[in-house]
Amino acid sequence: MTIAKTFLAWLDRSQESIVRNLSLLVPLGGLIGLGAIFFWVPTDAKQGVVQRIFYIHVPAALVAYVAFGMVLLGSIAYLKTHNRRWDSFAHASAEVGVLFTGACIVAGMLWGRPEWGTYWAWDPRLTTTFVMLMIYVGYLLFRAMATDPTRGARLAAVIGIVGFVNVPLVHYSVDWWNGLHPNMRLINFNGPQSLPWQMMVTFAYMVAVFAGLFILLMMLRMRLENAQIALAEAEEAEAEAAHPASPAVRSGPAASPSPMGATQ
Amino acid sequence: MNGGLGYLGIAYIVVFAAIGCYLIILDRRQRDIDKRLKNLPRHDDDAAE
Repeated sequence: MTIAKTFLAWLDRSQESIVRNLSLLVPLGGLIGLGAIFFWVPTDAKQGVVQRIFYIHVPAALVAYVAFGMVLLGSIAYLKTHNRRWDSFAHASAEVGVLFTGACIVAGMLWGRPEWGTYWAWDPRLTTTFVMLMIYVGYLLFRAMATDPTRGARLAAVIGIVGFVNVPLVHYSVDWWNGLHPNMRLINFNGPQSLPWQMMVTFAYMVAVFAGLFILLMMLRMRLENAQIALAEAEEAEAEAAHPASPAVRSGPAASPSPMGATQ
Repeated sequence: MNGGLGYLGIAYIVVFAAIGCYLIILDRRQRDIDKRLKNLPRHDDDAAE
């Protein structure tokens, strides 16, 4: 747990500088990436221009995997330490992961229509991705509706751990079952690459941009979560100071300050 | 291949608009909480007594 503590302390120290730097780097990097996607990368001979959706679709999916991995780690750490910061970490990751999964699905649907002739098919990859989205939307809804924040956080951590089982299913679904999704290895160590080098470079670059965006959104979301906790504690102290003899003030769901009621 | 440009454009607009909207929501919620934290009366003097 020393590593975990060191990580949290580092996060506290570096949060503001990371947010400041990434707020500049991510938009700049994104613009350069868009320039490369639309003006530098060759057009795919089979699919035409629509193949360029690949540069946002796949990075969004990869970042979503990482986000749900973070939910798993944050949930395990929370159950072990009962430190609220880990719960905030898991909660923030889940929210950002849902955003990226949604973006990935929408981009994929818009790629599927001209390529497969349909926006949606119950192909194994699409189905497992949809299930993954539902698991983490459920996680967020559960948190939003939990009336006892501590119990809610504990049960959400269990959902965060069990829900991760679906993530490898999404990834390996194209290997295990036949479907519409291509079973393509992006990096081939034993022969010629499946993509021209310009496509590979742009793809790797966009993965880096999406990773930066993910870290930025995580930091902003965690800062918000911490502010919500600080506000809840301040309001509780305020209520206690105003009515020192009334124990009723301290209990009940009204203690949640979040517009979503999703904090602890 | 025909009409691919439209789907490509919509995909990029939707994805970046969603990320932009999320950033705006985070910023508004952060500002709201900061304002509420600032407006809370302090009871340091009471506590000292």
